Amino acid sequence: MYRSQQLALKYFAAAIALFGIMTAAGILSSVYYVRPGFLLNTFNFSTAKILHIDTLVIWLLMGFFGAVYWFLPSELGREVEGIGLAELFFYIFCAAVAVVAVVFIFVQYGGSTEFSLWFINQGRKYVEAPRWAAIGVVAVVAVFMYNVVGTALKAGKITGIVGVLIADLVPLFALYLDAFPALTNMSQDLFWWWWLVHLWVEATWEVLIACIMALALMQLLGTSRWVVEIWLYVEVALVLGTGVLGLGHHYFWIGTPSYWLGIGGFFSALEPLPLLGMVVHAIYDAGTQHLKTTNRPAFYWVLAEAFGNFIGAGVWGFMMTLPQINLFAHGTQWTVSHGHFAFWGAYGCGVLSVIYLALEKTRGSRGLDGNAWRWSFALLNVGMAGMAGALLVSGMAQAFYERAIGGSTLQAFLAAQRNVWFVEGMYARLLFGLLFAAGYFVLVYDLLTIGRSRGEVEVETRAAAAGS
Amino acid sequence: MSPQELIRTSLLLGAFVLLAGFYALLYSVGLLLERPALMLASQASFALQCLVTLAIIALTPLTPWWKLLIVVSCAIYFRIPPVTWRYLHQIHHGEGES
Repeated sequence: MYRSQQLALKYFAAAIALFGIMTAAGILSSVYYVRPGFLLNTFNFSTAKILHIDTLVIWLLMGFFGAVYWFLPSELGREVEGIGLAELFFYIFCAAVAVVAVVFIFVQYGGSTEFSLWFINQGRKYVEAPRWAAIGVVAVVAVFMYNVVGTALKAGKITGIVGVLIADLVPLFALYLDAFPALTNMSQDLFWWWWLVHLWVEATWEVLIACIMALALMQLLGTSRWVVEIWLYVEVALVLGTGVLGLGHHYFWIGTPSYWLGIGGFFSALEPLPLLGMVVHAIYDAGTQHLKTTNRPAFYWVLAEAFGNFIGAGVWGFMMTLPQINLFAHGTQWTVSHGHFAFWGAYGCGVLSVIYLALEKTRGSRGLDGNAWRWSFALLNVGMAGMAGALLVSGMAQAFYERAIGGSTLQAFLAAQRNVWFVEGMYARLLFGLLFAAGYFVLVYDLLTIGRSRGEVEVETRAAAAGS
Repeated sequence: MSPQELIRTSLLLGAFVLLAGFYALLYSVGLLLERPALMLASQASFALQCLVTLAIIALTPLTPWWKLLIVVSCAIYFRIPPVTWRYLHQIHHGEGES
């Protein structure tokens, strides 16, 4: 095994640990909606929410890094260039995340000073990490870029997938520089902030996961490079063509020119089209393999990725993306419902499939089956679908009572928070969240044990055969 | 847009894409398993999607441009599964020949 692949396993372990913290912080956040005074002035909702969202971003990012470090050496036929630096920065990354989490939990917030901005919280949603840590993230991504580009240069070859990956890393790096607040005009600041959030999630991450899934499909189903690369180019073109200007669907209530609403609505309305193509592709690939694979968990998580992406991003997104709807739905639990489902479908399932692929190599393919992965698969997906459904009900109640009837006044907001549809939706979300958390525990158990005993037997058998 | 129109429009838009998904799913599985009944079910899904399109035109306060976008999208959704399937088949077939 390459050192890069050993590093990938460490990244996967860190990602799964952060996935757990994200889930715990999510459960905690959902409790505040049914018990508004919960931990008041001790551990406020805002802090739990920051932990929930920031760990979401970091566990997925670590999952992506792990996936690339896993596939890159076999893709280019050599060890990753600068692997020592990559290993060092993995530990720096983990230490920085731990320190930031401790500060968020125990310090929480500071005064309106430069010190707070540098050492406690930058104050920008989704990228709250204090400035020193944000600079650390820039360094980690820069090292990651150096690893990928350097390996391709040293190997003297750039495959189609690696070419797309390298092209994607440039905006991935450049857009994160937008995480550092410099503008004092709030409209201008939010205008550019969305470039970071939207173009990471609906452009650069989409391309990154497409590259990772292309590499995964070659390993999982033995699909030829030619087929995978052609399809990668088509899908990346469609996703970028519809996703980039879909940026405008965030430009509500922040003072941006109104023409953005039409542009955003139009391009967002086209976004389900490539997702539908991905569904057809998934069924085609599954059919050509007759649902037979040596790695069933990875295969089912790949299928969940295609379907989850279509439902979460496509169906849920289209319900609210036209400006006439978005005007009312924006910033309600409706958006939260879409966000949960889309992130899970587009990215979470993909990362889990790659982790199972890596386990196949480390523990042997014959043992990668059993009941635990089925339970975790069912609990996580049913939990997520239930949460998305419950949040949709609550969000629609908010849009209906608070926004459309009440005119978005404070009184209307408070009335909607007491509305029976909203409240019951929040209880249902908590229950399905607990189901999701149960799925997480089964997943961890499965990742720790799956294939281990039989894999050891295989290794022993091989050793005995070699000795005889 | 009234509160009732807001919810009605949104649900119709969701049903529009969901039915497109059912159509693609049933079409692909029908071709894969060579089951005419599933192909028929896929056509029924698309017919329902067309009905939803008509409902969006008749029952929602969206402006004409957005309604036109929905109609054009409906036509594109109809072509995506067969075109994608044919394309996938061609590149897999081409791979065998090369």
